Amino acid sequence: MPDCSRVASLLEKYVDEALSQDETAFVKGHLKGCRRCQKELEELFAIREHLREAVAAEVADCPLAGIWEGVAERLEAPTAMKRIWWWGKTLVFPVRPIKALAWGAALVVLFLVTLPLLTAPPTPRVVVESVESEHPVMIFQGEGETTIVWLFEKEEGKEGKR
Amino acid sequence: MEERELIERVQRGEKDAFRDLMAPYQRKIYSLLYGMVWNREDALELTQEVFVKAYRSIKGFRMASSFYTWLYRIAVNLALDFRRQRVANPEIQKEVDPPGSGGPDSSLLRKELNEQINRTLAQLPPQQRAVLLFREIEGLTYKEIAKVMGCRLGTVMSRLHYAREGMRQALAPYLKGGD
Repeated sequence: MPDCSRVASLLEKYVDEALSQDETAFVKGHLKGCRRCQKELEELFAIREHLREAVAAEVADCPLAGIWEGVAERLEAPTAMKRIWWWGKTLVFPVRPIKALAWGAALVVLFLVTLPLLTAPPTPRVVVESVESEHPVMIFQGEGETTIVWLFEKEEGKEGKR
Repeated sequence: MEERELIERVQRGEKDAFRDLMAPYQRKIYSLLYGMVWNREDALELTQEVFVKAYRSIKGFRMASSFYTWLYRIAVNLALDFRRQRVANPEIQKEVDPPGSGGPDSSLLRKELNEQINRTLAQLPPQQRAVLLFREIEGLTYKEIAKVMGCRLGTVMSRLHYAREGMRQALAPYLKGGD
């Protein structure tokens, strides 16, 4: 039918009741005599019906009663900002001065104990200047802190290589 | 008690009034979110999150728009965020059953159809899915959907059309004879 393409463009709005009165009357009139457009319309309603049934079936046994408990529990829990504020307040304005003093003293002691460890001078490098030995000796001073001392056995008939 | 009065009480900090305020929306929000994420635990978790967020930001609600539009906007934004996180963490599995074997039994057929709807919804772009659910499940008008989604009427109609087209193709075997 010549009006089918125009009706097809209006069908969704028809289903959604978003057409003007004139448009609605036009679509209704066309549908009476057009099986193809009727089928299109039935499909749109069927999709809606199937969707509603599918969601309703899944939602039917939803434990809605538990939703409020969950919400209330979360509302009681402090938010991240509140937690930061609490820590800031606790640290800056301690409620118990004695406890704060004790913590302060502990921190000072800890600082004093660890300070020498942190500022201790590095171990001086050992320099081998001479080795007393009957054997020939070779000293190798590495680039790092390693010094290697070789002792060679004397070869018969010789006083030693080096 | 009127909704407006309940809102004002909640804005003054009366937590109990919030329970009455959210009561009519629990099932609606849960249904919407279930349709969006198709997983009971996630939908429940998100529903609670919607109400917690609503409570914490209700002081900024100025009654200029309707409460449900405002609430739905929170819900759809959370659902879209959730979807984005899921895309970023694909190892988190969805509660999607494998295709059923079908059969003459109507409950089996119904189950199979629900699974097919489930899969089709999951494949739709989230914005299209949200529009489809707002229209078909919640019965919102185009204008209301546009407000909730923060888009134009034309966009709503276009998304709805493509979502319906996707459903129509996926459900074709079940739509024969207009059933």
